[in-house]
Amino acid sequence: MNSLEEAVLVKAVEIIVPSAARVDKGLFLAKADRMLDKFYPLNRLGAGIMLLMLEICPIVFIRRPKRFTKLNYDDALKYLKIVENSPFPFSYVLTVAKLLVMISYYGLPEGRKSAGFTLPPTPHFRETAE
Amino acid sequence: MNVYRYNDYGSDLHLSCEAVVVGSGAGGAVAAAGLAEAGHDVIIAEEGSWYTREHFNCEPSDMVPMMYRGAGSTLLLGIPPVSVTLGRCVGGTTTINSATCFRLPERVAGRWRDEFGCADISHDELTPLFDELESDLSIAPLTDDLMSGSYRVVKRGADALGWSCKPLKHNVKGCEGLGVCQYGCPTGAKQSADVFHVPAAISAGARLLTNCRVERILVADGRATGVEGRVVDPATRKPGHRIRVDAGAVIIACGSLLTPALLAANGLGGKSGSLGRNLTVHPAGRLVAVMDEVVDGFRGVSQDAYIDDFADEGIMLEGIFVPPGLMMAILPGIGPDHEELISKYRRTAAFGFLVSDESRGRVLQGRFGQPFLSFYNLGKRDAARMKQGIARCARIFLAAGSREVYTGLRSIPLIRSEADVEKLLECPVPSTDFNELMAFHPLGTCRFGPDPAEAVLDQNLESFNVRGLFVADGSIFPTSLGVNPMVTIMAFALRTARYISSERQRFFGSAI
Repeated sequence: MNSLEEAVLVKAVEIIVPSAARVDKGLFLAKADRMLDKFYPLNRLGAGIMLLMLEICPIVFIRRPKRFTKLNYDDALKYLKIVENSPFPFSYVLTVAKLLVMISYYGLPEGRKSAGFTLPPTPHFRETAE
Repeated sequence: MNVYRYNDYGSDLHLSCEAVVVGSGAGGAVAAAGLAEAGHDVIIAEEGSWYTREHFNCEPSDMVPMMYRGAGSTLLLGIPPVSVTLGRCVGGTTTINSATCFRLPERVAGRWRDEFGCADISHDELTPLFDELESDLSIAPLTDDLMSGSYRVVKRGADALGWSCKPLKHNVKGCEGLGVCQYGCPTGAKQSADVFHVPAAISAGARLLTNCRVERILVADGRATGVEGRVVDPATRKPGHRIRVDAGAVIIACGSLLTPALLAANGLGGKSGSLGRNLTVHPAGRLVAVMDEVVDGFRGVSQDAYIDDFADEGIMLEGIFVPPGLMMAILPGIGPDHEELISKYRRTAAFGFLVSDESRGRVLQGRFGQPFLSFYNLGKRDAARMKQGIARCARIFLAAGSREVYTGLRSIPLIRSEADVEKLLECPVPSTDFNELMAFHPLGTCRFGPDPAEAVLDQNLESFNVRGLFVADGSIFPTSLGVNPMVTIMAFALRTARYISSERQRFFGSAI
């Protein structure tokens, strides 16, 4: 993952899941990176393009000449809500980011706890596999 | 050596055997076990690694990149794209599926006979094979103690509507209902191919090459003579040592997306023009309902029940409950809206549906580093069936007492009353209205039939074009099945293994 993708995902998780502000962003990004690393080349390229679009499109969706990562909380929230409620294919700008954010954040102990979700008690549970 | 793992390949490898099986999922593992147990010398080539229960930590964010093809990013390109879940590991998709088992519906076998002229394949002929598989894999209906909290909600709603909600049959032995079938069974209860048929094949003398990606099918004088491939680094996916396996019979069992791409890449499509066409996927959706009571849908088996009252319309309702990350990814909500919804996670129930699709997609040979290129557009009639599936699931939850049902649709994301259901049924639902279009059962891209002008394989699953070349996976079916296909794929693979064994003189040139 390049630094722009990392910045977009960190900003996205802070806006989509406000309580994620408290989690270790390094662990969060490591989970997202493991997912992206196993994507097929075209899918990986597509994911990178979607994250780039999310970064540069506030001008299109909310008329703010700023990058997503530079928006304040209120503008970023408004931006993501508008993108999410846009018709296909515009809504897909958010799809990759939201998928990565959700799987990665709720894969962390803090995320699981916030949902009230517990993994089954198995002898082989470790925080990271392999 | 019976099992080659990545670090065991010190140099290029040249092996020979009677039958080489490419892929170790529902089709490949059963074909390999059937042949090995009949006394044949078998080699299985599998692109993925062999993970065991020690590797399974139940956490989707770890297990999905480890065992799902493309970390779950496999897409059928279309409007909208369809997400397809496939395994890349020993056991193939059986290692990461929900363990749901159905026999081939009699009406589907009848359709193949009547519409496609497949007179050699009868439901009665397959029955003993299903009996055998159900016995081997301990396939039985789930018991009440294993059912999820979500099931109890759905059952209550279905009973109120007079619909029949029944426990699904699973291939499990000693299941504890941990609810993580899709991320590798941590107790080994699921009798997936990596747990049952691959070990059975190895016990009978088969050899397993893990991390071996087959790229070429060798053909001489119109007969398949083996395969060639490369060892693949499981971490980087980079190809390494070369592997060649000479064999009298070659069985391709890579699934409906990879098998046609592999055959096409080798110019083995035949004359029918059917290779890679006729892709059906059972497009599926799921609804999430917020209840007043704590449901804890994640406790108990995640896919535990079904309603087949609408099977004649091509709609099957099936349970599905997923961990919060996967659930929230498709639900609406950003910021405070999301926080409010996730705070209700323990009160959510979920139920899904799949559709017997008439839409047809296509698979092409891979390019640009992709193993295949696949395309699928949901047709209007299937979109209408999807809408019916959503409406019926919503009615179940409303009847169970929910007043907050998330549909997965953009136009009507939330249903709170029967009036909303009526509104949904009156509205047109274009395919782009689906927030999430997913599929778990790609089928039909290498179909069998009596006529080489229309089918790729004959009714013994042997290529019309290349003798000694067989296919044994979901790509063989002429139509969608309307139910989870794992056991039907297994039954056809077992049938083919026995056919090859019965014709051993032709393929192997010697009697055992």
